[in-house]
Amino acid sequence: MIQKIRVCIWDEDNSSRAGMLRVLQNLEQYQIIEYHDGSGGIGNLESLRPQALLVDVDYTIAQPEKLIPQLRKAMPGLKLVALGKRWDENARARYEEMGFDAMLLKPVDVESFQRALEAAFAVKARLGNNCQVLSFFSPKGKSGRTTLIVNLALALARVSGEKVGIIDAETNFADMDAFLNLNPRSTIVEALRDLNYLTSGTLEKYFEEVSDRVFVLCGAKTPQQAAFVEPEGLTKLLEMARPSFRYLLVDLAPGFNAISIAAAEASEKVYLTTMADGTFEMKHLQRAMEIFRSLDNWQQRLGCVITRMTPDVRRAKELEEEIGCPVTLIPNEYLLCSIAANNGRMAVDIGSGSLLTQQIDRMAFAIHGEGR
Amino acid sequence: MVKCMNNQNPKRKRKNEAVKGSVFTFFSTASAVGKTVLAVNYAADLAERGYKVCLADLDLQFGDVCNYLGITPTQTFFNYYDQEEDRRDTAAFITETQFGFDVLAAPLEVDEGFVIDAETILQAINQLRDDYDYVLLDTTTGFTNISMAILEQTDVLYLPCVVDFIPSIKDLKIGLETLHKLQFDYQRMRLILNRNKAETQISIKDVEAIVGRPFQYFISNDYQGIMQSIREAKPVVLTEAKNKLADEISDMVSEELGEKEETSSGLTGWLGSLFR
Repeated sequence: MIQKIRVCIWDEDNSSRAGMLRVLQNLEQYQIIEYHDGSGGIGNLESLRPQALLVDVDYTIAQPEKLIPQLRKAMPGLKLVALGKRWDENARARYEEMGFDAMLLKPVDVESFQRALEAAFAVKARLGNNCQVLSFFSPKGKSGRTTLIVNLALALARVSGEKVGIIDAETNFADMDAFLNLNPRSTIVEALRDLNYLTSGTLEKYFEEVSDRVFVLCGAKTPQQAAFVEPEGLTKLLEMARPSFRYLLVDLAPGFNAISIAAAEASEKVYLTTMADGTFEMKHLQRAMEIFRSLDNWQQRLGCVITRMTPDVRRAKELEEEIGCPVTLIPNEYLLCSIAANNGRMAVDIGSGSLLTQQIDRMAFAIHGEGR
Repeated sequence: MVKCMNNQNPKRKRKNEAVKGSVFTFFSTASAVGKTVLAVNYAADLAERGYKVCLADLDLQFGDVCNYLGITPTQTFFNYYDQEEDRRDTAAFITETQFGFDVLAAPLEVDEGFVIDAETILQAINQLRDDYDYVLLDTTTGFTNISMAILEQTDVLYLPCVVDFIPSIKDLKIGLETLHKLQFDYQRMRLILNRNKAETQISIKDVEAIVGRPFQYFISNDYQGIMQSIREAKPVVLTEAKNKLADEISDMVSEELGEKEETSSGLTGWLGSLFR
């Protein structure tokens, strides 16, 4: 017989509480009980011996910051889930700070409830503070940016053992679905449209699974749809996605636009990516650097990736001095990369042992080592 | 070695001042497909034929026209933009080249390019059409307010692409569908396969089937020749030595101008394309 988890719903609004009970009462894993005392106090809550408490934070309890220590003291090990009306990253962070393990939006559906409970009971329940957002910018296109991102995501997932998300924020010709041979059910456009009704847990449903630890939120399917991707929405989406992933990699359209600037500002690291083609790419890179130097702490936040250049430690050092930030060189493995892209695979998967794989693994180790 | 040109006089007259100049735009759905190389050479070839030509670099943040021609402009599109609207005159911001055509240069600083709006670009194109037989526009990839405005002013759209891998083909298909939705007339569009016969695993016939349109022009893959042209800052169409790529670009210009004799319908150029 399955040992059910006792989950208590504390909501002084009778109809709201009844609605939740109706939705959740038949779940096999959980025993749903209700609590209300009309005063917002914890009264005889302890006697119900809940293992998790879903508490309405909008109307039921006035001062959660005072109540939570009392609950923790009375019921050690109790998992606390805040029930709110509207997603707000600042509020989520504040509740997390107060000691809540997860947040759910009302009305609660089964899937969101299960995700929130799983997150609350998981050992690494809260990754939000740990997540690093890495944006990839290039002055011009064909820099190898998308190839780099998909392969680096896989390497980072392997190195960290944690979940890695990719967000395709290309505003014209988003390619991540074609690179990974995906036919996404939803894209960044739907995620942004629904954002006000989502939580970190429910946002995950908009990501497609690429491997057991790599997930991608595909870009707009057409240039017309891309018009719905706006900077404020992207910033909010990144904040909301943070708790679900250890790393979030953001693919940006070439050149500066409102989206790339917003993404850069919301990122821990910005990688300027360019392809060594023997023309004026370094000049463009330098000009882009001048803009990025206005970011706070740019010395810590900027990195360069030069693709189609044979790795050479001395050359990389020279370039670092020239450009003014750390440089990673990624070799030209055109055939390997095109076979991978044409077959919805990742180059590091099909070309393990290649120089490209080695360099991407090195980059992943460096990022993860730095981020710990 | 650069050909001895009959077009050294930058103050040349228009061939037909009675009509506004034609706007030929080089646009693409993927980057690094050779837009700038084609635009520069197309401009040089038209100038060589005696036309008054201006090439405007509308890759406003990272334009390469001046880099490829080895020129350092003192006036750019930003200086034009920076004037009061009713005092803007493109003639004051043109850079003359030794190749017989003029250039309206992209801004020198990235942030200068960021502020230029579609209305200013339309204003400039309109003025250039009064002053030149042909106005060539080198653009950035993708659909933005600016590219939409440019498309509205475009008489002939050159759409170079490179068949390197499947995502590029998907982008081309989406780009063509978008142009169709924008009601851009397919008859005014020229699909160019650049770097023809470059190393690729994708067949051209498959690409044509996927995008639902045939390529109208095939430009050879001559990486070394192009790199040398960029290093020497000389358009390949102006080199004395026999060059297949230069011939192909020149043929493309001839066909557009209706100067080529043979087509299946007997009609040539833009008019001919209406019946193909």
